[in-house]
Amino acid sequence: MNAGRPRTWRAAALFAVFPLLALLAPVLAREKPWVETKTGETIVRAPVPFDPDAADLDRRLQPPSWKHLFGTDELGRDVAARTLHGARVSVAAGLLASALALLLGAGLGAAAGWAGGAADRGVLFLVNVVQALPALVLVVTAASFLPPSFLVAAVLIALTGWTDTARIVRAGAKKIREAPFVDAARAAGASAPRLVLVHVLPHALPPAVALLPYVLGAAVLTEAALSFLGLGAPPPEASWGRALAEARNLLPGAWWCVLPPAAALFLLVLSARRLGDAAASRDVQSPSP
Amino acid sequence: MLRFVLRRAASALLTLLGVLALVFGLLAAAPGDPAAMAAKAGARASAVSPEALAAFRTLYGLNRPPLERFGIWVLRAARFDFGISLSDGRPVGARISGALPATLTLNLAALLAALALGVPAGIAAARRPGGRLDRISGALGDALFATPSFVLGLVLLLVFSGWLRLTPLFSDGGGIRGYVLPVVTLALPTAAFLARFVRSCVASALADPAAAAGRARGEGSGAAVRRALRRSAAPFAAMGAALVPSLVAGSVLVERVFSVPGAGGLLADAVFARDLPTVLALTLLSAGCVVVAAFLADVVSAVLDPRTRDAAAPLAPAGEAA
Amino acid sequence: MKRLAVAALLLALAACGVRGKDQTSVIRRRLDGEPKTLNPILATTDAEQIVVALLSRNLLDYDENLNLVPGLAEEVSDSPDHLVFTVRLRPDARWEDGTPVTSADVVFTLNAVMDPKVPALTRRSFFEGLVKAEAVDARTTRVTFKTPSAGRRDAFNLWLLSAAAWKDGDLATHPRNRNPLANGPYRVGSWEPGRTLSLVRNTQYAGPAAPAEQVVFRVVPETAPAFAGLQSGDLDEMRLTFAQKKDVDAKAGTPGAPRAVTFDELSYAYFGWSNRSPLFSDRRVRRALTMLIDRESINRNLYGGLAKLANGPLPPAHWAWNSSITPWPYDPKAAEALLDEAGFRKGPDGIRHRGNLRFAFTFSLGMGSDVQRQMVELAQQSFRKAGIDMQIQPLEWAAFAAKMDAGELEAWAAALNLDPYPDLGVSWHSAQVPPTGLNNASYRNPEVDGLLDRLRSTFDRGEAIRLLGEVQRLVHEDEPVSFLNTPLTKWGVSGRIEGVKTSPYGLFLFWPGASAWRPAAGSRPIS
Repeated sequence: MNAGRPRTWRAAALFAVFPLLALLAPVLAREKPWVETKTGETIVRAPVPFDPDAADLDRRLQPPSWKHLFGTDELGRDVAARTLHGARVSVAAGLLASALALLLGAGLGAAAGWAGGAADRGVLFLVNVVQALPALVLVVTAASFLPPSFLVAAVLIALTGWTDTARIVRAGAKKIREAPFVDAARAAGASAPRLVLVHVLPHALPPAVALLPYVLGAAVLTEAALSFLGLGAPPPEASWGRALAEARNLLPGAWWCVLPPAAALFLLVLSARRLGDAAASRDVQSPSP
Repeated sequence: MLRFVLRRAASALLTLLGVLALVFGLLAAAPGDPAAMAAKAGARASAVSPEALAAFRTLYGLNRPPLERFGIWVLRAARFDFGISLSDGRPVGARISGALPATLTLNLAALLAALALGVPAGIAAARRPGGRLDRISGALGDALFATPSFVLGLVLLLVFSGWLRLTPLFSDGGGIRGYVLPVVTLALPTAAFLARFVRSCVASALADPAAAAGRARGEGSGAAVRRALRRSAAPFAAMGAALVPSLVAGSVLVERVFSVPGAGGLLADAVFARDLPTVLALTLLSAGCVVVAAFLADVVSAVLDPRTRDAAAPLAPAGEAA
Repeated sequence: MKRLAVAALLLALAACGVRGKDQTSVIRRRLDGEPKTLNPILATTDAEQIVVALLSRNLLDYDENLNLVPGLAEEVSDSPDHLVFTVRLRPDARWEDGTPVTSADVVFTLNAVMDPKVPALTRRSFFEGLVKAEAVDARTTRVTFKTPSAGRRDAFNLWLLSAAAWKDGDLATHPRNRNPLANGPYRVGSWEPGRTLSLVRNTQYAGPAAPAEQVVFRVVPETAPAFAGLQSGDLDEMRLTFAQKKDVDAKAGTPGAPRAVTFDELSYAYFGWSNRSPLFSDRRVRRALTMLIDRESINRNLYGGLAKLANGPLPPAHWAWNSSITPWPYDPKAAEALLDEAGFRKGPDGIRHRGNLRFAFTFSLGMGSDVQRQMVELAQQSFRKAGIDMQIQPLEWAAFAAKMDAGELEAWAAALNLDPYPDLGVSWHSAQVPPTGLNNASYRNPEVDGLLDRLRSTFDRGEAIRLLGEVQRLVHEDEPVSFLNTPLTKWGVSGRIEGVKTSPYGLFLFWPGASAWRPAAGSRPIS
């Protein structure tokens, strides 16, 4: 059952492909050749030799070919280049949102579980309010005050997504608070923050971490839903969510505009979950959710 | 005991008021004017005089101070009078009760279908974590989870209704058959998530010393799974609490694709039209469900497993925001 | 287990069989949104108006060329000073309950339009300056105004309320708003909110009986399912996108296949520039921006050639359109020269500057059409090449509208639909600069103001055309916004429907509009 380190490392390496692709997108997909002569003749071209935003109406909606591996979209932009660059927004927004949600949820959850009393009731109240708040109201209000950007999207997603983490961590913290080794540490004179950080969080966090792949996937999906409503990342920035939302009216004709971002999103969720599974199975003691 | 119930009731009421105030505050502060939105609905370039707009505002009491408007709405809502919709002049209560049956039917059917698919799949996967079944159902689940509902719905619709002609294109076009595709669209991602959730609950229970002891006594794997399920009662109840509110919330995206007139579309229309009475009433409904479901989950898990009175740990079905 | 479930699902689906009963005399139409009211004076959205158009005749109807022709009224005449209008109803005009349409209904309707307690936001502006409406006899109504106005006769393109049906209670929340008393070729049969709204033939209607017994409207918000419905025969009509039109054309000729109908409408697309902004206050700059947008290529590629260049504030389908104005050409070189001339020179960062002013701005995008967004993205690219830094900011619709009305937007994309007798003063007179009016570009030209003032009291059509032609020329010279194009409207209509006519006011809002649509005899919808 415990497949051990190699599996974890493999999963981690697979997952790391995404941030790596996002970072390297400007190098991998660009019109400017990698190596060129002084006169501007191409020696080595980029693997995807197109700029993601370079529109050319004369080559719009071309099906996949050797020139355009994934075809072109409605403005004649290369879908492969846009999918690669889309990783920048989608992966960054997803990672940032899940990290923020984890931070917020773990912080508030641990504080509530540890302190109990009024602090606990306050956090629970907040959790309930956020869960009951229609997300659309929050999104629309934010979109009318702040210019849409991936940062705003990430914060919005985190603001609605931290509650589950908070509940889980709070429950864990409550249990561990009474554990003998915590009593021992307390008797040894450890401060409250130290107790929470060193003794409580490491035990309360793993189940919340197991949730992360789904928070990550949901974050990218939320970005797609925002784009569906016209409130996603501002054009012309490529993102998977926007590509999916915009290409939906091209179905069933231009399927090549939908498939690459959908597949990318799937692989991201898959690899994140495998990493989560591998990490969880390493530590059998961790009370998976 | 009475004190416990009273305290819960008070905190539930406080939560409801908090949510309503937050929604009201956000939407009242956001740019956008219900009167102008009502006039803009026509979208022709004819002038709408400022006097006409002012008359509209007076008519609906929009020129009163926000706090007063909120107070009036809350006091009326306490007597089940949710006001008049700013966008069509109908009582809000009537609008919502018109939209609710479709949403409830759809979501209830989807929840049941998700349970029927997800729980067995999760148990099967948990028997051999890392096995072939686990890996395949995991990947399939990820694919379903990662596909936006409007893409999944549209593809299903174009294939089954447009191409194969097995289901009607519009949800009302043939009794129960009209609901098949929207239910499937809503159920599949939830089933995928549920399967992973059940799998991890059951797998960790199976890995427990108690399960090993059972095996040593020569128990069959069926009994072990049953024990594992029983031990996971608290997280299951918490999961239920997280799923129940989605029954009334509706999903605007799926509703649009399948032309279902549900609560999700109503909320979206109302938010975009700045129709506050309708938004507040819908918020009250879904917030009420959240509060009640959370309370029930606490009671259920307390009854099932007294040790975990406080350990409500719901993994909410992570999904799209709207 | 999963395989089993999928198999069961497929079986269940297959068992459902094929439905379909013969419904030759039914027309099945699409609404893209739910009508919120069917009250004739409160109906504003497209969905509401195209339904009411089958239920009600106007006092005066527009014909397909937008001439006012008798409707419920056989005549609307005005006094020589254009202040008193006399409305004479047809003797055979009847409500669906058999009672005659009388002057009491006309007076009731006009009073309701002017009543501040009635949210008839769009109708009221047509009757501004109304002093009183009084019944002379059962068929004759006299309507008196304070000031004369050139487009006033068009205000009588007005649907009526029945005084008897709507008399009690608050008009905004009246139960009749969902079950209106009809005086047109159809009446409301049944309404299942959010799904279908069924109209049946009105047997009391005195005019020629409608060819189809029943019209069923179905609410289908998304265009892809609607298009599948058009192809399967579940829907008989819908507005098409360019890609869908191509699809329809490709299958044309197959028996029962839908056909595409295209026509000019009174609308155009534009990019708005705030003339108050130091960036856009110089008309050379605004012209340059227009000249940087390759509108020919946009029309060819995004609209498949089904669009015309806009040359000013009136579209080609309008009766006063000035055809002698040549649209600004696509000419990036000349545009860059104009920008240089206006003092905006390229800096070391590749962006143009005039002194400390950097040519960078935010372009607001409401939740418009896909094509609109694509045009904006294309413009962004060509602007960038010319040294202009434009950031696109999508805005939620209500916020976009609020900011536009307040004149707070710096640059934006919009499409304008005009009334058959549009008051250009609303959009271009300096007295209408926000927050007062709809001159969202804050355009000011005293010469144009003078012409627009004169137009209000110019009752001679020929003179009005001359003055409007001059207004168009001046506005074109100033290019307060970038007038882009007038796309043709593309409609898909089922092959079994005959008698479809078009007008610059769309397919439905003129007479006889969709009430003349005939499901062809003997043909059956496929399905």
